[in-house]
Amino acid sequence: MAIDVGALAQQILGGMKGALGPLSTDSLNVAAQEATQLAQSLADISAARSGSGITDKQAKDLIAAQMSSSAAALQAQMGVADLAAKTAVKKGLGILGDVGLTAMGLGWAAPLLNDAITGL
Amino acid sequence: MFTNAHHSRGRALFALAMTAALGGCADIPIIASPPHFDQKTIDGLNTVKKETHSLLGNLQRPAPDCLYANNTIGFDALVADIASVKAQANTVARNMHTVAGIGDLADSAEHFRGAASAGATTCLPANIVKNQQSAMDRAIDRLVAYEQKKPKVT
Repeated sequence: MAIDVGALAQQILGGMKGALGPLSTDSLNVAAQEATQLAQSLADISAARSGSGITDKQAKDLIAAQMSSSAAALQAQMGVADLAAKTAVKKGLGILGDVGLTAMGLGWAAPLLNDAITGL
Repeated sequence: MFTNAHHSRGRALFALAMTAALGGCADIPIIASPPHFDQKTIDGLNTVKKETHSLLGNLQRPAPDCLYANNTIGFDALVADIASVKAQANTVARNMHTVAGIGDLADSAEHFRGAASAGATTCLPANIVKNQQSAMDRAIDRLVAYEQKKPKVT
């Protein structure tokens, strides 16, 4: 199942915005870039996994790597506390939920994503 | 019933408490100044970026160049460079946002290393390595931009 990266990015961005509150145009652009990056990464990781290119353990590490980078970018852009940036990333991905992930063809990622969210 | 002796002792204790309180607070500014600009932090972040490009460039090449076993030195150098710039950022007072951001960068590199090292005989797909490069580039660029907004010390 092809993953709609644009729709996924919009959902992630919606979750981030809910956590970050009102944003300047520059900060909104950075949050949108991070949401798109996370969505594209999830899609590429999913494709690699289904083609047996990577294991679940590798998928989880790759998701966690992307989340940490996004937290760093958001924090530096907005000058917010580390916890606030991490919360935004967690909310961005957490908003998808198991049902949403399954509907987008990412059902396999739900337990890995939950682990990565807990570990961030 | 309070005597003069009680009042004198009370006044002395009050004076002592005020002296201790004011003395203890003398070194604490009422409004903490923001962290200052640090060129060494920017230089360190640029070094990390170069190291990232070199390592992740190798990981996008055909096997055997992309195998983890052939890139352990590059991973070690990247981890060391990030630790070095984090230590530098820590030398600046009240620099917790930058230090935490660099810490997130270190976490990202460490997780990515975990994914790369799990495949002893296979390489990570090139597009996934490219995604990591893009993610780290953007985080570093944002950290540099944040540093440049800080007040310069004259």
